[in-house]
Amino acid sequence: MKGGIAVNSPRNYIVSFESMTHAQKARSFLSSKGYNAEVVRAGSCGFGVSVYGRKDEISALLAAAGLRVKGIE
Amino acid sequence: MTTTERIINFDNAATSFPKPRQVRAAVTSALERFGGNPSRGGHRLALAASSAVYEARCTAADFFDASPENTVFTLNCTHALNFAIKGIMRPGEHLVISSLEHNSVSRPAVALKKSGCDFSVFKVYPDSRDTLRSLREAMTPQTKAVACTLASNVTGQLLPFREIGEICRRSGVCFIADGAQACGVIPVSLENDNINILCTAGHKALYGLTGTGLLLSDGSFTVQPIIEGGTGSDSENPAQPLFLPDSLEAGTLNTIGAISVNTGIKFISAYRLDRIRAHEEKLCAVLINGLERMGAEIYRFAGAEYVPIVSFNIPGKSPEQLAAYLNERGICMRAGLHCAGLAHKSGGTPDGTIRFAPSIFNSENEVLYLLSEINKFL
Repeated sequence: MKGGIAVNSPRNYIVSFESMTHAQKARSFLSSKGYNAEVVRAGSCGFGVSVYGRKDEISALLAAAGLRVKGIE
Repeated sequence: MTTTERIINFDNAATSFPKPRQVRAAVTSALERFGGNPSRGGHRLALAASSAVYEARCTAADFFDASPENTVFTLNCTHALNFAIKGIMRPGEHLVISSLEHNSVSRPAVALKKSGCDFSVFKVYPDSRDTLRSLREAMTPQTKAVACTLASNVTGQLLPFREIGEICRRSGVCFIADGAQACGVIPVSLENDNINILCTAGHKALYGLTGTGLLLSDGSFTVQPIIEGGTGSDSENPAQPLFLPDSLEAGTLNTIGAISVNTGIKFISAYRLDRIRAHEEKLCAVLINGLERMGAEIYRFAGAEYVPIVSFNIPGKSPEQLAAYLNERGICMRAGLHCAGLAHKSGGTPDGTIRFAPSIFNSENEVLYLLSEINKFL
């Protein structure tokens, strides 16, 4: 995309979850789908998964797996 | 007796000992590797501990057909049962328990009466059809939950738990199962056995450390927390979060204990439940054969099914006398009421019994030695 940043271009996202256990489950799931994902601290007292990819694809995958996401930044 | 003398443990229903070599090795390694606080902080020690606990959750969840986020680590089975029973019941609701319950079920039921919850007891018979009839009769329109053991900790008698779960499922009633004596000996599945909440010990037939237990939920009933505190999540919220497992895991988790349970479950999975049960049942058969020749009273009914536990008495002798005599000879067995006054009352053994509870690490020779010592005691 010329002259701007593509909203859906692959980059590193932090997907945040309610708890460490949910983040761990998401990391495990995303890794099984071939994503390079790791659990990280997210916000002042939360946990997330750092993952490289397209936001729409990651969101759709996690939703299809029934994993409740708090946000993707 | 000194610790260097030979000790034979036939009290594995209280807690298993020895633990498998793999569990001992995993615990030793964990003490050196997992020093952080799981779900607290984002540094490498905390994250490593979190990963280890998550792996343990996944192992337990797979073993009992649950999901890892609905798998809660507790201090023991009693702790899990208190969470489940008190977290499900509300004032005005009715609870049903069986006549074979351990105090970990019957005492919470009694305590709940102060909160306006009533409870009824259904009788367990040798014939499961009679047991199920008794259960149906005990249930009322106000019944919110049935809480019962899968197998008696006194006699080892198995309840028809899959059918109990089916009755509960059809009635929209929560089935809370106490798996302390069954899990690790027979297959138990939330899915196949219609169990909504399974509570079990980690330190008995799952071969983890003492101070470990599990609560596994199928997610269909909300368990309100009865203990509040830090969870490492949702900290800006003044109230306890209501999502599992955090809602029931206030305070620092027993990381080493979770790792021990993880390794214990992997050990029994590799060994196979059917082989474990066959070995322990063979030991029970050897014991029963010898006891019958001595004229002992054995508390087993024809037609009923059992996990590998045998409760018995020697006529004219107290169970405590026999246990003390055996203890002097290096044999550890439990005598008395086994924390299950209700079961003894309904089973006609108000003065208690002596209980034989082998593990995979006991041998036939050890049982023969036990029989020879009982024979000398007569």
